[in-house]
Amino acid sequence: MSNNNYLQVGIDLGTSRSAISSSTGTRHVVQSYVGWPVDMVARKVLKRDVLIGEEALENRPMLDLHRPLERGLIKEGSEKDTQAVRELLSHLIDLAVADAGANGHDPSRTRAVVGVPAEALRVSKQNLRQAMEGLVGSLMIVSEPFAVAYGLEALLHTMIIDIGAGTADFCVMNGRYPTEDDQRTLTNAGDAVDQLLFTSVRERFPEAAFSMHMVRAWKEQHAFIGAPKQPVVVEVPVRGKPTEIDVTEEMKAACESLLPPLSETMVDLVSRVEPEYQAKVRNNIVLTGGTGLISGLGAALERTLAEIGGGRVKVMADPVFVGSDGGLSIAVDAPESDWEKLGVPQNQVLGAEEGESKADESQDLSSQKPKLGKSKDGKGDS
Amino acid sequence: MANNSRLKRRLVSGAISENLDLIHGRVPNVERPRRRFLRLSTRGAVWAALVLVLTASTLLISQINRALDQSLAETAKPIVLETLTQRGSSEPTSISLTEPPKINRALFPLGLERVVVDAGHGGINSGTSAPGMLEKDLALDISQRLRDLLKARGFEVIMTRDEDRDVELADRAHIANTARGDLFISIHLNWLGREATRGVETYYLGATLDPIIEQKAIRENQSPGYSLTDFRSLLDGLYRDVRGDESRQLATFVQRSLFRKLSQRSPGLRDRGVKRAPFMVLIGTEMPAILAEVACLSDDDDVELLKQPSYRQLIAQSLFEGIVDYAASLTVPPSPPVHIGASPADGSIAAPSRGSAGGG
Repeated sequence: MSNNNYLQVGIDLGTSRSAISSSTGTRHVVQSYVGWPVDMVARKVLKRDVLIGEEALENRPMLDLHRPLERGLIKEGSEKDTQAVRELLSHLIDLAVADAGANGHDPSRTRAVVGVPAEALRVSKQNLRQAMEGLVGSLMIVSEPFAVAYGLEALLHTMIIDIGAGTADFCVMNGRYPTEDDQRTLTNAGDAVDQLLFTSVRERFPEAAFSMHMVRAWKEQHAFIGAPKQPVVVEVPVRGKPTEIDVTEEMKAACESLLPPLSETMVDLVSRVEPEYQAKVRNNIVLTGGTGLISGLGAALERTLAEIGGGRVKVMADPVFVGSDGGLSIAVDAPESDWEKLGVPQNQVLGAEEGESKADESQDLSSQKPKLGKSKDGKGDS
Repeated sequence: MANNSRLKRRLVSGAISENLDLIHGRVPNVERPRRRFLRLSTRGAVWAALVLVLTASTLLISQINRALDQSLAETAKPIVLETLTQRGSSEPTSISLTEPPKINRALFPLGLERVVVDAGHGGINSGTSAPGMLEKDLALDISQRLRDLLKARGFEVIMTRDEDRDVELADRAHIANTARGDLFISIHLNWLGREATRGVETYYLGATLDPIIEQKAIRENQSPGYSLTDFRSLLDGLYRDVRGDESRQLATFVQRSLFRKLSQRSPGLRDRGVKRAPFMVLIGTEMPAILAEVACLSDDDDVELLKQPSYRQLIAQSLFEGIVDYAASLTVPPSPPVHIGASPADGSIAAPSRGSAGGG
């Protein structure tokens, strides 16, 4: 393998956060938000054509904000979301290129492995390949739980449960590349919990003012399954006055709504493993992803396993880069000759329309057709 | 350690192979062993059928010659007279044509080579949907799987769309007609409402008295891309050939296969049957054409199943087998083609055709 002249990256394109690990040894995580200034004033204040990640979230009142990934894939039907995904991918790759100290880096010398939900439609994968045109030279798309398994070297008699914001992905590793029968994708994941929590708190406290972003933050701080360690009390404005409300019951109900589909799918997949290896798989279950960190979730799944002979669920305490690290490992291990077969067309040139977008500052940007050009100064968090 | 390296190489190789399949539009690796088995068993069957057809055709030709002499004498002459009467008439519109004599396709072993696969909707026209699922995506996914299966069997396949884009109904028919397809299959997903029983159903072109089907046709016929004049000439030509019969046959084979295979995986699935409806995409095509509603997005069980690639593959496999069964029915005469020494009961005559009956 002579991959030395290429920048290799593993990307975990997440509904909530996206991470990149590069062969230079650096890693970055970015909130999966992309925003364009809503008007000329906003653009002058922000001094950017596009903002990405935390920076976009912080400035959201001035932005046409997009969270372009839905269930781990490019949202359908909106040109702007497609554009946002390209901006996000471009930003991640730029971060990796900057680390490599390669200004003016030729995109065709970047090789990327990107993780997608286990049961992503082929057409969705093709959309992703299109979105990557002009950003990288070669692209390999793999199922996200497979990338996780590869990165953890959990390759034999193991089950990966990767629960993110958009999807919960299951994959049984039994020594071969996972087939469709070895994998499952559920849409019961972090976003579903957020939505349920939002609805139930809204019903109980109709006068409280709060947003989905606030609900997401409550969940990230207090999510639990089983008995609460302490009451979940959050502060919200009620008719303008900061007020504390107890949302313990709502939090518990929203988080526990994940259990039935997760348990059922886990048991179903175990039951499909060859009988002699079922016990091994039951005792080698890895729970990862941001939503996998819900307190008590691993234990609850172990209680389900107890009903079919017992098992062990290992929770990844720091799941942020598990997928992207796995992708990078695959990128490094793939033979040079195979990478050449996975080339991506270089039709779309970044920055091609940049001049055009800057030329007409009098127009309201929110009404403009999205452009494929990427702002050179579109920095986000890292 | 060495074992681990070998295992990693195998896994990476699998990932690369899957990506190459994606790039080149092939069925993923996992399905190949079954396909290989099918191909081998098919090859044997094809050789056996070839021998059978060659033997039978020698006998058939001598029978046809005798039968044609007799049937032309009894059938062809009245048709000519009838046509002359029409030409000479001052009220051509008031004359109702007697139904043209039916073509008995069993007289000739017909081949089916070129299949047009039409993934419903596309682009801004998403069709129906369920949470996280759009009809256009599922239709394309299943169509691509069907294409791969058909290609592996040696059929030539024309896709009306192979990506997420809107294609007008007239353009879909134009693609099929220009390519001189032998058969047209349009793939859709149903929406029957929460209270309705889920199931599969297959349509061929025809008038309907069912108001629900009529409403469905109105929905599906959006963005037709036909002018009123185009439409009138299309309707004029509708029942002039045997396309209707062939389409019904095809629909029957496909519906039977869909229900038989899918109900094994999806208990409770209902056989909603073969139906007639005036779908625009079926009107414009000049070959046997059907529209299959392969699953129901208003049903939670179907939605869960559709999330599984293996179920979508099963749908494609069911459609494929229906088409293959239909193709087999063209090459193996379903009934004695000619009554030796007597005129056919329906006054049928033999019509040479390229590939399929009424294919032109």
